[in-house]
Amino acid sequence: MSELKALEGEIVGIFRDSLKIAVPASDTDLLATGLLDSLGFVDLLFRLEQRFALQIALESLDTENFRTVANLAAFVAAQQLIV
Amino acid sequence: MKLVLVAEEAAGVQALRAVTRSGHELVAVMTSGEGKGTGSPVRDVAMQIACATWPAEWVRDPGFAARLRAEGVDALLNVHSLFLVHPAVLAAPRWGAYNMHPGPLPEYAGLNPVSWALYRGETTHAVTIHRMGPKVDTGPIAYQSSFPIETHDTALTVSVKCAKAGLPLISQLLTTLADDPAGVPEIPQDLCRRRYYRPGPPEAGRIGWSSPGRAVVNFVRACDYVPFRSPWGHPRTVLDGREVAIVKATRTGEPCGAPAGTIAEATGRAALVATDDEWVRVHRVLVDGHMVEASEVLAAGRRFDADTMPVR
Repeated sequence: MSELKALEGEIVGIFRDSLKIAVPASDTDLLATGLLDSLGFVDLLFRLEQRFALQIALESLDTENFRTVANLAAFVAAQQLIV
Repeated sequence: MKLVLVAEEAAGVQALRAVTRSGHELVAVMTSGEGKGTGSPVRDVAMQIACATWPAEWVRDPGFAARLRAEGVDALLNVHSLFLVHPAVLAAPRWGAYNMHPGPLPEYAGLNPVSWALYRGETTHAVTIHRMGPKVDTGPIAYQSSFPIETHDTALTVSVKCAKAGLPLISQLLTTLADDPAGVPEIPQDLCRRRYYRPGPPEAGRIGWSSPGRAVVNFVRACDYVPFRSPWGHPRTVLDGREVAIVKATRTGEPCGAPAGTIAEATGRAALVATDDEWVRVHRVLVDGHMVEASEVLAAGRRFDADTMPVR
């Protein structure tokens, strides 16, 4: 399993366990489907920062990174490289 | 220390998590029944941690004070709840009631302070924790944390900044209350500087193209929670009798002499629109409920109605 796939699994776990959101697939559009609302978005930011020891810079925040779990995994991986 | 948390929204969820991590006894979480799905998101989290939940509207009932005293509550913490707390209830907790407000006080009292600050072109914002008094957002300030508003910030990003800046303040408050309740600062507000903001948008939610470009863009940013719902909606305007809402816009700094509201040649996906003093680049618009790139619907040479008073 690639690192990105492993990250996707961890992120799906955050959605399931912390946000109580069942994500059907890693390419599900979280925004268009309404699975992720503004409250969930903020909660997810905090969760990602805690879980992956990140400090997500808001000036670099692009909501496209939050559109799918696959996008999120790529975003987290990129952030980890920065840290 | 025994706490009661009255909370809503994302900041309320984060406050609940912070209180839980603090190790203090959370007697109950008070929240409304509104929210996505079957219940309040704050309530969902409270249920996950097996904390009692009470209806938030109880805070309006003076009789609820007796319940707080009977439970031996030391402090009540209010985070983004919109219920007015009865003075008898405010007086019931042993060490008082505190509110986390997503704006600097006394300058940004009231509702939607993040959007109002962006609309007014502020370059800094703050989160304030203050002791609650009978009049909304007027009690003495315990802690305040300021941060810059950048030109690229939107209502969404500033709201996230507020939540991030507020959590350490909650931790600081809880630590001080537990160690030395008298040590919590009580800085009186200079109420001469107080401004109270209503919940709805300014200008009846309509753009005045004859305003300076800075004001137009600030209004758009103040409404920008994209991709999420904005409490103010998006600023509206009219083109050829059709209502168009402006979702994303940025300044160009390029002076323009065209009549306000004139649409110039589109550049890429965006279109340039004339304001009082400069061209503004409009990136995304909402038409008939659909969000589209501006260049798809804004044709060069057309002109928006300049139908509202300019904002200076």
